[in-house]
This record gives sequence, structure tokens and C-alpha cells, in this order.
Amino acid sequence: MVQLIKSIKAHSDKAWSVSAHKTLPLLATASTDKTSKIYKLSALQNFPQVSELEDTHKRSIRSVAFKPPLPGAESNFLDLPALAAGSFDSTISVWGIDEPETEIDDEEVLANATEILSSPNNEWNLMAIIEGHENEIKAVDWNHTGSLLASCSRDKTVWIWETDPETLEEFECISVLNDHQHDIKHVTWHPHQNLLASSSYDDTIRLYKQDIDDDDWSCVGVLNGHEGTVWCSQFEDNKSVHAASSNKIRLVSASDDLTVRIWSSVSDEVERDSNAEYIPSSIKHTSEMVWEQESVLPAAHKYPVYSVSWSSKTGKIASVGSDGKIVIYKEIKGDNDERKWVIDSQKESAHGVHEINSVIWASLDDDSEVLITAGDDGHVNIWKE
Amino acid sequence: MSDPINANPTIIDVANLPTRIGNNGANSVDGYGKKSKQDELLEKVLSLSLLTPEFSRTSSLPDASTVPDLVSDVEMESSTDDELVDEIDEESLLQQAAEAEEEDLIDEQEIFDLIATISDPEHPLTLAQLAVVNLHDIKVTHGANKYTDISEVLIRITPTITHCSLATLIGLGIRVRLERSLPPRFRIRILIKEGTHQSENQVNKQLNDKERVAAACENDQLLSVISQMLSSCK
Repeated sequence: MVQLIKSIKAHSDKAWSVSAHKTLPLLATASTDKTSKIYKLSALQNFPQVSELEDTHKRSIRSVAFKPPLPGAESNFLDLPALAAGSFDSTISVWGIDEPETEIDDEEVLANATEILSSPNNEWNLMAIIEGHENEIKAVDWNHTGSLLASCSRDKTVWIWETDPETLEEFECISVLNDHQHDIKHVTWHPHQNLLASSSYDDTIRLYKQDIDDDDWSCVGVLNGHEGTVWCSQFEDNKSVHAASSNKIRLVSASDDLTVRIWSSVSDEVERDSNAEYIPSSIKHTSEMVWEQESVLPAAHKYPVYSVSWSSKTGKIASVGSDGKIVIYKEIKGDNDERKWVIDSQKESAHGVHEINSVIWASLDDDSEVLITAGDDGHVNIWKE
Repeated sequence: MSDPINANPTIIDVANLPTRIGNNGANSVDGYGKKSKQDELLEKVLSLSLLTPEFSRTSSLPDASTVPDLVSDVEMESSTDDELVDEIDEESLLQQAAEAEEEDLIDEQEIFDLIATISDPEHPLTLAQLAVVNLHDIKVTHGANKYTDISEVLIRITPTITHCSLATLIGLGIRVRLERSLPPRFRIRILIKEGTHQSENQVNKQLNDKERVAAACENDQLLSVISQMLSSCK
């Protein structure tokens, strides 16, 4: 059972989305009030506000995502955090901090990097505005290296933007994917490879990869099964000790049909041209993935499920939605060593009578794991198991 | 065969509408004088992609078979109290009587009174007069604690014609009215009454998509049309 350890009245209107930095104790929020806020994930310091990002978007901010750290950064140089925010005004803003000015020498700075980079003393500045989508942006997400940013919109397209993850100087659109038939609600990258999933109002999830022979991106899989808008999905961290198998790719999805489902790619890549018999030669050489629906998690939600998160620390899944409930599921080994999902715990009225729009697992500065939710009441609630 | 709108809808006399509040001055039927101006605004709004009408509002033809049978509607409404009593057993009836002494339990009649006086976007008439909203098509389901737990309002609307491109707009107007009036514990679900619209599922999906409704409500043109619709509300 989760216990509320902190409730932050972050916004005057709906809080839509939360994102936690992968290595720094930083939390970002997005709201209808057109602002984003950044908080320090420190229970000891009572979760101080680090920054407020405002006066940039003309309409609701729908989605925020922290850029992942650069590989191998910790020891060599100061890896500055950055944030992307997608808005209903059809633009994405990218925010970051300048190299902090300190009195201490470089070595000491590196030793205290976490403290320095998550300090409220840093000023968060607008670094870029990315334009391209025709209308409301519903989600943004960075790939595992921070070199690619994906965005999706009601304009039925997913855009992939390439950038230099160190400088974030330019964002060049390298692909526009228009496979969905409707409004796209969410995009999410695999934690360790360039595999992208998008969830849509057309009730499907689509997966995208780069082609083998050229650098174009293509849809390599469609997940059919949900009977309503798919609001959110997240990949399992297949390097987690709790993962089913490090070779297997699994995805969890949440839908308007009240269900949470797990999908898995059941085999290695099948080369499309090995089935040349019925594949026209005009189709480019790409590798189609084979996916199947692995399970539907035990029913727990009474109203649409808006968000879902898969913990790499514990392997547990949390889901939230319109019914104001947090549901946590865990995978157990039954008879015959068969794995199955059960409800671990539930928390009713986690934001009073309000709907919950977003849930993530995150780590505090003491490395303990928490669950963070954002609701229509404008609150961000932090929970511990 | 090509009337541009449902120009001749059947109208229920305001005096015959079920209400808990006074009937006087509920509507001022001031003819079609303002129509052309309002039409312009409507056209603008309907061209917004957010309403994505896949059916044109020209070439509409009032289909006699789908115009709601108003006579029977009125009869049902006048007997609504009996109908409600039929649905509940004696014990809950007693309970209800006791609760009636307390104030402000939000019930179907209250919801009806909130939305009945919304103006139709193309006629100088209210949604109740046009039988777009009907008391017997409203269902309130309370949580365990009727005053504090999450509760649900289900409203089935009956478009005046089966291809009414304004159905989404009307539904949105009802949703905005209720979201502004009801406490946040209410989950509002608005559906097109089965068989009364050719794009039923499509309209239903849009009307109940929280994110699209939120985005729509940030559109000034659309909001101004909705404000007009709601200006006749008390």
C-alpha cells in the first residue's frame, strides 16, 4: 500500500504530465495553466521548487520529458540537464541551465555535481522552440542517448527530431511518420535502443525503427487489441533484474477501454524480404517485428486509464486514470513456473475526487523509489510503498 | 430534397417541460433575425478541424422517421415521476424521502434544469424545446457517499436530424455547462441516443475524450459560440 509523503499544489489548473530526470533528483510538471515547474526530489529538503518555466506557451503544456544523461558523463564533465515541453499551441520548448558558476575547483564541482545541478540557484532558460506540427502536441520523449526527440500530435503524425545531445543547438526533423489514422496521444522510446512506440485515438499502438539499408524510419509493428483510445504505453527495462528476459521486448499500455495490457515481441526480427513471395519488391527492406498480446492485467479501473509506468527497480507496474485510483501490479511465478500478473495494492481517491493524468516511478536524492502522480486538481503527489 | 438545415423542427411548449424552477421567461423566442450572423460564426467553427465533421451540414433533409416523436416524449415526461418510482424499491424510496429533506442532492431533474435552457446553435430555441435533451435520457449514479464520492452523470442527446453536424457542438455545450456547474466529483458522459445519428460512435468518442475537450475549450471562436449557447441559461 502506498503512503502519501508529499502533496505539492503545483498548478492552478490541471496537471497533465510529470517527468523525472534519470540520474538527478529533478521532477518536471506540465499544466493547463501554461507553465511547467521543476522541483527537487528531496524529502529531506521538503521538495523545494527549483524553477518555474513560463511566458512561453500560448496554450496548455501537455507533456514534459527530461533528456537522459550523456553516456559516461559523471566522471569527466558536468552533464547539464535539459527538458522538452510539448504544448497544445503546437510547439515544443526546450529548456536548460547554464554551467553553474562556483567558487570551487572543477574536481570539487564534479564531486558535488548532483547537488549543484539540482539546486534552485540555477536559472532555467529557454534554449529552443521547435515548430512543425499542425496542431496540438500530445506528447514528447527523448531516446536513450538524447540525440533524438519524438513528438506526436492531433495532426496524426509522429515527428523525429535529431539534435546534438551535448549542445542541443539545432533540432532537425529527420522523419514524419503518418501511419496512424487519428490523433496520436503518446510516444515513448525504448530505454536502451532506438525503438519508438506511439499510442493513438485509433485504438492501436505502432512501433517504429530505422530501416536497415537506409536511415529512414518505418512502422515495424501494429498492436491491435484495445477497444478504445490508447492513452499511454511504456517499455519494460529489459536490463532490469526483474525483466522476463533480456532478449524479450515488452510494452505495457493503458486505454480508454479500462484495461492495461502487456505486449511482447515474441521472436527475433524477421526479415521482410525472406517472405518475398507476397511482399512486393517495391517495399523497402525493413525488419518487421512480431508482437503478441501477452496479457491483460487484472481489471481494476472503473473509468479510462490515462497513464501507466513500469518500474525498472522492482518490475512493478502502476496505472492511474479517471477513477482517481492508483493501482499497482506485480508479476509473480505461479505453478509450473508460469508468470502471471496480480494486483499488488490499490489506493483510492489519490487526488480526492479528481482524475489522475500521469504516473511515474522515480528516485529521490537518497535513491529510494517513489511513485509520483499528477491530477486535475493541479497537485503533484509523491507516494512511497 | 435539399433544405439546408432542419428548418422546421417540432417544438415543445416551454410550459410542458418538466422543471423544478419557474417557467416564466425561460426563453425569448425572438425569431430568426440573428440567424445569418450566427450562421457565419457557426460556419467558421465547424470548419475547425477539432469538430471534424465528416458530413456536410448542407444537403440535410429532415427525415420524418428520425424526428423524435414529440407527443410521446411529452407524455413520458409528464409521467416521469411515476417512472422514477418504478425503478426503486420501497426502502430506497423511504430513504429518498428522508434525503429530500436535506438539501441539494444532485438528481436528474437538477441536471435537466441546468442544460434544458441551453440554446440550440442554429435555432432560437432551447435544447429542451427541441427535445434534444430529455429528462428520461439523463441518469445520475451516485457513489457510496452521495455527497462526497465520485458520481456519474450520463446524458443521451437526441439530435433533431440524423446527420446533424452540430451534434458535437451541442454535446460540447452541454459538457461545458455541466463542468462549470457541477462539483468536480462528477464524471460526465454524453452519448448520442442510439440510432439517432449516422456518426454516433465518432461523435461519442470525441465528446468523451477529455484531452480533445480540453483542447477545444482553448479555442476562442468555439468558446464564443458556446457562450452564446449558454447565455440563455439561468
